[in-house]
Amino acid sequence: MPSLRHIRKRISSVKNTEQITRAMKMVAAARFRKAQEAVIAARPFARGMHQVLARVALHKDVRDHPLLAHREPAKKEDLYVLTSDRGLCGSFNSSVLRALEHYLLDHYEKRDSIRVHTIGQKGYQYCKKNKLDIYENVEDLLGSPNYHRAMDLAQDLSRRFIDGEVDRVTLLLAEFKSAVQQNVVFRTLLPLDPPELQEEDLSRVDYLFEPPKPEFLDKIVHRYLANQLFMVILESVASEQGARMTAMENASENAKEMIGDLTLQYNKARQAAITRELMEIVGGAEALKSAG
Amino acid sequence: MAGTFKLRLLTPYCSCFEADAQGVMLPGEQGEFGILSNHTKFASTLKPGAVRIVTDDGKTTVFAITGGFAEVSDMGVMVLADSAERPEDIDIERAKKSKADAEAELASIDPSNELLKKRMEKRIERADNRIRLATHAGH
Repeated sequence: MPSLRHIRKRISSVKNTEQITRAMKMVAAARFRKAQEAVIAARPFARGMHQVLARVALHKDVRDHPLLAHREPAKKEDLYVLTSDRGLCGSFNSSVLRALEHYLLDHYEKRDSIRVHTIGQKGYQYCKKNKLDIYENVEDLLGSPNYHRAMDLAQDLSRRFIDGEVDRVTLLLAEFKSAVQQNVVFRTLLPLDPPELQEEDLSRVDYLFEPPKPEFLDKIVHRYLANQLFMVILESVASEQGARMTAMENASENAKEMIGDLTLQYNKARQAAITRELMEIVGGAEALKSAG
Repeated sequence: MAGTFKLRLLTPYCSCFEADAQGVMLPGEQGEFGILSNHTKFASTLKPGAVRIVTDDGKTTVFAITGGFAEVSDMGVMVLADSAERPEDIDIERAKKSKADAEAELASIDPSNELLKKRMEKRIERADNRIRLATHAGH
């Protein structure tokens, strides 16, 4: 049995760990709330964008836009992998990266036509360590998601797509379900899916366009793409913070349990020591008595 | 009394304004324009500039936006801006710094990189607009 001093040391070390994980949980909870608020705040805009595009999409010109063109079979693919910049968020990064490995294995025969881009330091580090080819690492996108940065990235993507450099752009991310649940999904970003028409949008409207229609449509389609990308980034950040919060909560619980077990062990050891000492005293007294 | 219409000013960060309005002035890419109620159906792109809203009690509210687009339909006016803020909330120092940063970067980049050049010019334009509006708001 470990010595009393040894157990005491372990208890205090686990206590320290618990304090850290508890603090991290608090921080993650605050960030999670912020990330969730950002997602909610971005929704009306996304919906508005959707509606406007759906309404103007009644025009044939939108459906003919080059960003909506399906090129089959899609030969060259850009894959964007969204992970986090920091660790200690449970299985958030590992489940995304496992999906990436599977995907690359499944498409091994056409590995040269898939370019991997990483968003988030963890994915970048993982790929480097495991000798996976990375085409590009996009930095500084997750700290405070910025719409203009998303617009710049979307611009690069659409230029590559229209130039025929790639036939498809796919995102790999942990979709936000709840603080405890994230689902790893692949989403096709390009070619764009035209928004579905809903009943309320169907008020046939003939617009005056300024600048002229093709130019206007081009701009709105590009912004629609940027917004989709922005929403995905917000979602991934919310997933990350949720996962971290849950992971830290579990870690704190485990630490608590461990402290309980160790305290029990400590008390048992202490009791045993006391019993042994008593036995020795009684034994000594007996020996003296029989000697006397 | 002039009629009112439903006006929404939305950005990816918040819904900034959502109420009835008597009129609104918007910075169209091809020139500033005003919208009153019963306007014909219209869609326009917007450049960095000021959105001036006349609310239904006749007061004027101003927002600085950094571009976007506007749609006028029978459901009202929807302004989808890339970002919007009240001029009195603009941090002039930050705007000036962002302008200086963008100018420095513009000077340092390869002049043949048209895309990057355009991006930086746009950033300067956005910063300029914020500085102008914030100064106007009486800082």
